[in-house]
Amino acid sequence: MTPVIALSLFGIINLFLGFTFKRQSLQVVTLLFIICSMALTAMDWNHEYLWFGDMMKTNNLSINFSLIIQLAGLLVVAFSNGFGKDEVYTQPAEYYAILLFSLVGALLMVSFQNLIMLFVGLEILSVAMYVLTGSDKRNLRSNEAALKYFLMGSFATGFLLFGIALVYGSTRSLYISGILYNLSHTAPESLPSFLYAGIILMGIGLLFKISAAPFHFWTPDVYEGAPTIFTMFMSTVVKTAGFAAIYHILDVTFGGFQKNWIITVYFITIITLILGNISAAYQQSAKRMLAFSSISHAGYMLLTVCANQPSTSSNILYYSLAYTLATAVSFAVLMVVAEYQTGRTEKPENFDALNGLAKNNPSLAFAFTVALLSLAGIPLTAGFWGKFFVFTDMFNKNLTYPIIIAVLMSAVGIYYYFKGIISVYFNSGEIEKIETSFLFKIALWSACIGTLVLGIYPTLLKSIF
Amino acid sequence: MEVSNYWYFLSGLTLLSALMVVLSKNPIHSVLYLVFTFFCISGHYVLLNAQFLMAVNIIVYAGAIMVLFLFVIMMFDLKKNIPDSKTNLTKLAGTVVAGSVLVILVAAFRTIQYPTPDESTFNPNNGMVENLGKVLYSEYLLPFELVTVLFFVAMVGSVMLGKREVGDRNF
Amino acid sequence: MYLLFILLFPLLLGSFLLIAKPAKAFGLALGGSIIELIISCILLCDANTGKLPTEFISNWIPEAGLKFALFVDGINGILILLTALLVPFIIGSTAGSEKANDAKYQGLILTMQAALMGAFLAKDAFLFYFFFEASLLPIYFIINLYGSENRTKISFKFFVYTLFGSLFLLIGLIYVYLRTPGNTPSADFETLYQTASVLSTKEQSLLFLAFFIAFAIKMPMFPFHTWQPDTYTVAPSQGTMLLSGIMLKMGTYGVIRMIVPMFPAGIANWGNWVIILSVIGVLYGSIIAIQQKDMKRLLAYSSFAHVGLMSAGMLTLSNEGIQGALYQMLSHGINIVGLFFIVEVIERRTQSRDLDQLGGITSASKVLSIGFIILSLGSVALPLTNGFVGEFLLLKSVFDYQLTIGIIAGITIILGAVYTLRMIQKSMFGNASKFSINFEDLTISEKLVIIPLCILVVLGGIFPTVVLNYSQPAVDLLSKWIK
Repeated sequence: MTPVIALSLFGIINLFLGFTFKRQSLQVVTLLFIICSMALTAMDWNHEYLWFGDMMKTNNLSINFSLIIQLAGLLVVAFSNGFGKDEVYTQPAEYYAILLFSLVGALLMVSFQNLIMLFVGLEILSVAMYVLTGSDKRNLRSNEAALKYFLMGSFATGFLLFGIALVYGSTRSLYISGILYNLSHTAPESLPSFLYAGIILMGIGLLFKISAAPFHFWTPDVYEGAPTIFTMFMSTVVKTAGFAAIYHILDVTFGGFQKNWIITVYFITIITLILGNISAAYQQSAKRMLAFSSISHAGYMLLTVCANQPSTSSNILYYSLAYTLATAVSFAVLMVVAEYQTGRTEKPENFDALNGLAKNNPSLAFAFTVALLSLAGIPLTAGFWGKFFVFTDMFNKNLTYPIIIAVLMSAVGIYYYFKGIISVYFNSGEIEKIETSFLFKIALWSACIGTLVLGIYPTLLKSIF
Repeated sequence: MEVSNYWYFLSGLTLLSALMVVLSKNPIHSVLYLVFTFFCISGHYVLLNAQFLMAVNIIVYAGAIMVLFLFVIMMFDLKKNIPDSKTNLTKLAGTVVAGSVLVILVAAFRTIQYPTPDESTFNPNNGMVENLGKVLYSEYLLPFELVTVLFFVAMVGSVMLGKREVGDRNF
Repeated sequence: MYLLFILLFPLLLGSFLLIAKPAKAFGLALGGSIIELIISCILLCDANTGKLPTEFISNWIPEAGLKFALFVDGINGILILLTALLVPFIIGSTAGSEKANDAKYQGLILTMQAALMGAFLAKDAFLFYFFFEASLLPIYFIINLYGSENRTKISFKFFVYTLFGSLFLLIGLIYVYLRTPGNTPSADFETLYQTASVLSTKEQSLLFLAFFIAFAIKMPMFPFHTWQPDTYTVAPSQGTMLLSGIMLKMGTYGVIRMIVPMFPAGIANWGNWVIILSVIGVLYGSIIAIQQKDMKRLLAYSSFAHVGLMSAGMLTLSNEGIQGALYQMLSHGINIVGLFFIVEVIERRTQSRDLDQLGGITSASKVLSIGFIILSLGSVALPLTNGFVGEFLLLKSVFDYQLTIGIIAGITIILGAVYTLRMIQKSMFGNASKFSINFEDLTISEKLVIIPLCILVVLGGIFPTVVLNYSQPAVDLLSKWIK
């Protein structure tokens, strides 16, 4: 609870600081705010609290999710370069404030115990993202992305709300503990049939947010249209928070009803994997490819949700962390290269714009390569262990056929991730040395080293998760 | 009169105005009929003892949203936008789809069994404003306060997006 | 401790070369690889007599039951020797060219050595898999940064093809590893053998296929070989030496270490087909090699043919087969590195690898032609060369398995002689063509690479028992699992 209060206050303070501070110092101040709230989160380690009469719960699992989400926020702020250069971003304080508020929404989504809290958290996160997506006002694609995201996101929230209403109607309680208690004390035959509809509808509402197929159609356009720094935020924070919520709803609350929702989620997972990977292979734009790759990674994480083993929560945490680090680095590199190429090429976000990056920017090229290798799941990087733990979960549950599909799609994934590596190292192009700020370099290197260290020694964090 | 008489009267009025929304030629008439439908539905809410919901329905739905609809419709030039009558195939397809929805709904409603309310915990005055307020400000205080964050984001966002930048066109 | 050293030393030295890019990279790299060779020899000699610990186990991922475990026994001792022995020659072969002091190149070669060492040293199957895949990265960069025309597409095909196969290995491994009896799953080889022995025949057959696909693509085996000739031709010489000399042995080692003891029922089911495919591969490779004009491509196909015989022998599950495969791994590595080096020497001087354009090099350089002949005869398996020992054992095992397959495999010796001798005759003898007219004699560093290799070829043919006795106990242990 303390980080929620802290982040809300910090957001408001940030708005006021916009009057007095310069852009670069505002970035540092926001970083300090987020570090402060991470410290507050970590202080509750190994305690279990219930806040406001079972509205929110703080336990190790929620602390871990909160830390990953705040780490993602930290990386986004560090990569943001103070929003100073482009005259579009006139007032950075507002962007940082909205970022902090959306972190509040994400934190609510990972520690909720009441379905209303889930809804409030989801809405705070989503509305903040709708605003940030459209923040590049002069760019037509940004406006289009914001409108698409808003319309489809509100529709999905409507589904979620309908599902909550049906679940409430059948279990007479909005609290997760109340639902579990009532469901276990009623005979299965006397459960009203609209409970199952409610579960599926809630699932659909949440699956939209993590862009599972067939609810993924908004993802490529929204990710491509939004300013890259906010795409980074969307693909890391929103996904992690969404998966925490899905885990709480499908696996924790309705784990006993798995035979009702498993077939639907099973098929959604398989279609997600296939559609995400195959569409990504056809993309020319690196940003769009990363959007489709985020769809395919949602597919992998859904696999472990389907498996519903005792180790599922720690595997989701590990995968989210590996995915967050890799995506943040890849979007960061894409962002600086696109900024450099904006006047010089027609399509600054294509793979061709990355050609020849390694010649004058070896550290950027190396970081990009490590990030793409982690996304592809090559050993030596954290992404490999993420996929390994997912496969282990699935074998434990004897889901052998989706594994074959997951493996085949991994192979497809290698193809399109390597397009990026080939462009950066082996194609020829003219890119001069790109200047990046000190904070950017620190964030890039720490994420890169984190990926490699976790790739060699995953126990470091797996033991905590 | 019995309550059920009120119910039949109100339902009839609702259905009639809903039909008129679809069938009337003038869009402004459709909007006004829709507003009337909302008022009738609010009347249903009163019959269900959901006072607060009636008030919110009228204020928000009929008041704010439909007025927005009216504004947008007034901005259109109505004379140009008379849509052609759709082809026969489209009409047939529409009928089939809507008809199947009707069949499914009727079948569902016939077989569904509503759980009976639990005598001990059922409070008929649940929808009354005071009871709602009591629950909202005691048990659900945390989400209530957190919604302020949501409003804050919306306000800041709308100002940020709508602000006039240097070099924007003047509409 | 020695085990950890021979794994980490090339890795650290290679990373240092890659990051710091010192000017005199050649000396550092060569010195490092020679130190590695010395320590490996000490390790192997002493490990045999029990003076040094043969295992190094430490915790890696306790939650998943995976251990960072390295070990040496008769089987992987040979391969460790192979890796440590060949890399100094590979680094030495760059001498005199501009690649000698290219720190990036030497660094990549050394990191490749570390990855290969790791795969051979691993005692835990997932550690093996880790290094199996990790070794793809340095070689991919070597080919892509230093290869010839068309390298991007070809190296990419190689990478994706191999990785795709190894994904099936991963799945199979996870499947077996999760079925470890008891609470914690474990991927230690001994434990895996035990777990696999209680699997049903159907499971064993499917797992055999899953495991084998990965190794079949790596070796390569017919019909998964399409990546091989292009990749070998396009890669720089040192890359090809690493690929054919050491990397393909990872595939055969995997078969011996994992498939043979774990899935005897699977082999009983599918083994016949696989052996037939291998022998078809041998024939196919030899016949195509006869028609090749490009020397590098010819050697690639000959390598393919040799590997086919190795895999056929291994899967007969006989003592001779496995021993023969192990010995052949060692001798084929030595021979092929020498042969590829000679091709590079010729190419450096004449800018051509085309057999039609060469000729008459003997008169210019006698040492080169003698070395070429010795190494080729080793490849052809003339008695008194190391190739003969390996091929003889392998052929005997295939003969014992089934007479007809053995006869067909035996025919390939003749075919091997045809393409090898044709290669020698066209390039070395006859009249000097305009390309080879000004062929200079070998430099000292080139002689220093060729002569020791030739000596090793002959020594391997005369004293095979040194190596065979070394690997015998481990192979006997393995046969226990085959029963």
